[in-house]
Amino acid sequence: MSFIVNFLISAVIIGWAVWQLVKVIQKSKKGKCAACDYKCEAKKLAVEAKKKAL
Amino acid sequence: MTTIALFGNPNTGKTTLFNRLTDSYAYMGNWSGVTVEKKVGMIKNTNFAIVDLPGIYSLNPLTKDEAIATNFLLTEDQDIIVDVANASQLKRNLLLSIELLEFGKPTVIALNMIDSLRNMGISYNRQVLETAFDCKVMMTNARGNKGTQQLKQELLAEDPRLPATHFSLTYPSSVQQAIKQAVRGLTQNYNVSSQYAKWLAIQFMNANDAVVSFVKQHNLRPLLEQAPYYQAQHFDDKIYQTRLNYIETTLKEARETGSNPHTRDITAKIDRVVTHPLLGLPIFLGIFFLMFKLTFDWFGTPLSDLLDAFVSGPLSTTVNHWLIAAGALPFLRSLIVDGLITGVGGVLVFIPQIFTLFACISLLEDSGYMARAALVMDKLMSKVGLNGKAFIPLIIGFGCNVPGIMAARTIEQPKERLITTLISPYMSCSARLPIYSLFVAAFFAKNQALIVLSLYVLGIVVALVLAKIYQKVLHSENESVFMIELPEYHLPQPTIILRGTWDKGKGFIHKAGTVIFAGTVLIWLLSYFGPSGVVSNISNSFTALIGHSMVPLFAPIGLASWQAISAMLTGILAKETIGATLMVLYHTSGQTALVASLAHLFTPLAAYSFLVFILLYIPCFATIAVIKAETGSWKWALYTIISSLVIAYLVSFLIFQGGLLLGLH
Amino acid sequence: MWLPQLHQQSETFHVNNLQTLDVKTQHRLKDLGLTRGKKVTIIRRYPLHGPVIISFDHQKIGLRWDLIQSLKREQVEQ
Repeated sequence: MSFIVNFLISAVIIGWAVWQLVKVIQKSKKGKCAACDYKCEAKKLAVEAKKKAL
Repeated sequence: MTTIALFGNPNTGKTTLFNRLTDSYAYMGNWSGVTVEKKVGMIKNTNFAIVDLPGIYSLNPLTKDEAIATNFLLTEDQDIIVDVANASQLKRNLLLSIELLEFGKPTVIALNMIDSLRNMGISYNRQVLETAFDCKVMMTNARGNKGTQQLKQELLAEDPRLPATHFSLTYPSSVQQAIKQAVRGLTQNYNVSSQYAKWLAIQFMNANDAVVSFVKQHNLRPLLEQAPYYQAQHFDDKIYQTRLNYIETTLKEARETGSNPHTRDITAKIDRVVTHPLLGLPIFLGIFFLMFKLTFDWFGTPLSDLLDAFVSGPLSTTVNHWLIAAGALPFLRSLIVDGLITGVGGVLVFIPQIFTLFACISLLEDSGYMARAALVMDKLMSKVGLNGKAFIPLIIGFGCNVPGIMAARTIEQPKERLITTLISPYMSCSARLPIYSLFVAAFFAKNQALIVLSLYVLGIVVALVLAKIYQKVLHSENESVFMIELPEYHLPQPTIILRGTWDKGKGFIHKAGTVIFAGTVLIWLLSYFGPSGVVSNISNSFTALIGHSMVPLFAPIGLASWQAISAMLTGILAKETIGATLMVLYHTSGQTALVASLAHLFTPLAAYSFLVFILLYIPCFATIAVIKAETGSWKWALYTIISSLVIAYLVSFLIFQGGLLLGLH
Repeated sequence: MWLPQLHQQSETFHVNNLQTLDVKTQHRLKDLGLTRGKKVTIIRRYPLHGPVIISFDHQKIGLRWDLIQSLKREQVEQ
């Protein structure tokens, strides 16, 4: 097996690992309000009412 | 695209129906509050989307998960509403149906669990119900997959013009008068459609919090000015009574004598034992002990050992031979054999144990025992200011902390929900299981299940003590209300248990290919290289350097091995990586060899102290993320990281030093 | 010997009073169909004023002892 093949396979493995690491860290940074409070949804209600009014 | 939304009371089988209609699988269980998020699926080969929603009792939500369902109705477009009702508790289920019907969207009522109604010897005339509620009524048994195909055909056939419902209930004249007046005012001055105005008025009179604040925000004066009058006249009671009377008369009219009742009341018989005032708690512990016996002694471990023998023996040697034959350089060979096969493979051999545990949890979830466990634990939980319901998220946390924390949404009081979220990470999740398994095999071979049970119990105890402290700090006393429905037991269905087990377990396999893979490669790289380049002796590598620098810090809790310390660092990525890291760092060919070398590196006391530290220290990234998401602030996520580290250190310190004083070693 | 003795007699009562409870509790009880005048059977009590299992309308609900006490109490007319 040539050096290049060796290098490529190693690069793929390490590249995948790095990519996964980045993903894990990014995912933990995101995490927005998954279940918003009811009160804040009242604003959306307003939009709905306007839609109906049209 | 046509959107069909599934509404209904909690635990009426919405998710089971969703799975039947979409031929998919979503998380099911037998207690109120299994579904805490909306889920969307498609009916195969059509453009029909089905939305599964958390259960609600009325459109006025008390909890976060209920708010999701109500919000969906108010803010998102649905073409058809399917109201899933528990046929044997129609009186209360139809209260929600009326609210949904008044909303005016095309509606189908599915009388689900029709089999248990028939077992009670009751049946209802469909025509009478359809006329009374001006909508299609279908009889289904989603669990037994009966009537679900007809329902699907009905939904597909009726589209696109399933008639909108014109259901309108006649309220007492004073209410009726007030509604008329409000509708007039709203349509004239605020440009709202009369149907919507009417619904808004009824909900406002019924004191729906969300609608009240909406009305205030928009200063809808026709309603606001009348609010004191509505209140003084007890309109909400009148509306409720009218609805209830209507339901009762309709049901009386629709009721037909069915076949002879043949309830062999199994539920009552089982309950006589498992909810026994004195035996309830021991039975609960017994069930968990049995779970660990199955996982560690009878079933999981023997299979894992077989798998390990294969991975560390034939697989590892064969791959090594191939790589040599193919001319792979030492670097690549070591990466694959010493890194990936040892690390990732070493974690994957725990599949049998983890799946056994998941199968047990799925069985508990499907049977209906969870609600009983909550009941039995209520007295204990009330001592720390929580209620029995908070125990369900904690049990789910034994599988994985992330869904456990999500399940806390069903708790009514915000402070109790926050406390439950904060104590959930101390529940010993399945990812910590591989490391327990390794250590109990090395040090406590005779009492494997008992030692593991002790760790689980320790997790619960720490969580409860913390809850008590939080209760004092956050002043959440006297807030607690405890009400829990005890559903009928279900005979476990193998397909549902298998799907449930697979659904939980596939996450573990997925992690093996992603985060555990990444952690393994990272640790392999750090141990292959050192400050001076490629190292021949691992004790000169970066990992050793990092680990060594922290040894003094961990000496008081009995940790002298830099390998174990490095493993804990990678464990924050995902707890499974702890095992993988140890495998890589000890350069052993598999479980058995690692178990043998561990015995020289730890004393049993130090090993237990290490396990306790692993149990309690910083939760994994995914859990930190979900804490942030559910509490809505980084503050709590950060707090969790710091507090768990302090607590883990403190408890293992006490155990190790205390053990030494007692003459253990 | 002691097991059968613990097998409790069921007791029936009518819901009398909802007014003294807080709004959230009232709300949830109403959701479950527990309204004034409803006939309720107690099928299990836990020792030391622990939770109580009641049954009505073909359903079983677990509640706390103190809540049951206030449900039983006579309604005070304003």
